[in-house]
Amino acid sequence: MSSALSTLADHSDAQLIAAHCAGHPDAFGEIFRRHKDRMWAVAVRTCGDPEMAADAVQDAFLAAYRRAGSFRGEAAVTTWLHRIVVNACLDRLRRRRPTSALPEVELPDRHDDHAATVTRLDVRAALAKLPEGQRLALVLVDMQQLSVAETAEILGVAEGTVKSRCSRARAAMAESLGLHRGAS
Amino acid sequence: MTEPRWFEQDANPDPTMDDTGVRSLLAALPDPGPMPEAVAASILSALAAAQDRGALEPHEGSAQLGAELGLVSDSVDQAEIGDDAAGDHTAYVAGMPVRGDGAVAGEAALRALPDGSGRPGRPPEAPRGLWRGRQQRALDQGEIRRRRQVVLGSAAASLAVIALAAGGLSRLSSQGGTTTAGVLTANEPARAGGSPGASDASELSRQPDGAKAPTGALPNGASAHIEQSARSYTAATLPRLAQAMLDTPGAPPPSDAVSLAEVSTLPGLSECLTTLGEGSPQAVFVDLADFDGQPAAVIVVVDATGLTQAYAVQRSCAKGEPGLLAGPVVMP
Repeated sequence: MSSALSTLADHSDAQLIAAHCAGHPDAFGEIFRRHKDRMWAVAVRTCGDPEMAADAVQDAFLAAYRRAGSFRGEAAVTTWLHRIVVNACLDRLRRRRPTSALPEVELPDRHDDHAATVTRLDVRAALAKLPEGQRLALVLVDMQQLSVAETAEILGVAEGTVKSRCSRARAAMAESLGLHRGAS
Repeated sequence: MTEPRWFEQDANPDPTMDDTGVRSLLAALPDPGPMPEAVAASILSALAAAQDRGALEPHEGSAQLGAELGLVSDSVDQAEIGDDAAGDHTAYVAGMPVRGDGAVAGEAALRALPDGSGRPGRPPEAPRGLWRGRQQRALDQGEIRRRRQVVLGSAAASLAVIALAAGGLSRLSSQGGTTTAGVLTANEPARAGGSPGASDASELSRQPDGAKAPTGALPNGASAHIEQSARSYTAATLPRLAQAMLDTPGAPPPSDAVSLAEVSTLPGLSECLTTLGEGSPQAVFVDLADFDGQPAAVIVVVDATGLTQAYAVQRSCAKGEPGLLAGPVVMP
């Protein structure tokens, strides 16, 4: 067993999921170690609230742990995890939505200055105003730098839908922020 | 929100091309950074709890691949599968074979294990596995759990409770005495942590050799330990003496005490917990003792995240009438 443990890090994500399902006590821990930071970023950006993100990402990893057997290997494990995290965030957001709006969160930046902070708050506020589908598309494509194909897989929509959502979302944000085409 | 196909064909520009500048603005927003250690520790704790409960749902087709990869030894596989019926999925969880539905696998499977090397049936003397190791390290570094509604404190004490619960679960199953998961064994010292006052309080609660506290499972599956001690709690000493109870579980209350105290029965305790707002605990410890000189019950509740809180209530605590005397106090 020790030899297996020593080589755990050498296995692919899919192999670790299989090992977890087969009963390896440490395989899912390695999955968690590999992906926790990225899933954290997705959750924070999707929820817009670190506290809610913490709850959502915990929900997600617990769900992934329990339902690892449902992973069929048709997508990358990271895509599968993204989808679970996004869904967990949406679940949390929808539960809270009736009583409060999506909060605007300022993340710490030691290179801060007032103007930059105002801009970031404006950007986040504009992002928060977008319809859910458009906001998720921008979070995954523009902020998480995922491909259109991966984003489509995570959101369960066609690639063309992701593209159009991105386009519409950017146009709406540009208008909200007073940007003009050609700004980039 | 699905756009018509004609729209996608006519207006699906390359998302990497953006003439609004929004993509650049979004990309320039500060990265959230790595997952905070407190969040990671909390998740690891929850995962460990899930592992202890055998929360892996039934699955198909993965065990063979795991074995082929050498990640699960053949002997263990065979032992785990043991007398399971064909097609029944078995997963090894936290030192004991637990079937996909959470039930402990057959005793024959436990006996079939090689001493020392085989995992099932071997009591986990210490937190084991990557999660446990990381959890231990994280907590050793003084990390705190995230829980904004409570005063944050050291989580080491809570880990002790979790370790106690996990150890109890595994030992119970390894003894083959029952197949009821979620029952905590008594008279087992905590595997980690401890408190400065533990030794003093343990003197107070020392019981004759062989004494065994009652154990059981609440309706939600949470393990429950109920004892009676001579501890005299006050609001100031509640956390310390409650920790002493965790460190040194004592003997069960005599039958007359049980008859007088609602909280000393599992149904009564369950109703009391519900009244206190603790509807889904992971483990519960009850000490029939004194509080401010009056008979009372001190209840320590551990939730799935490892959050450990102590209450002092009247022994009549029941549905709708908590008789709260102190708490909840987050355990140090």
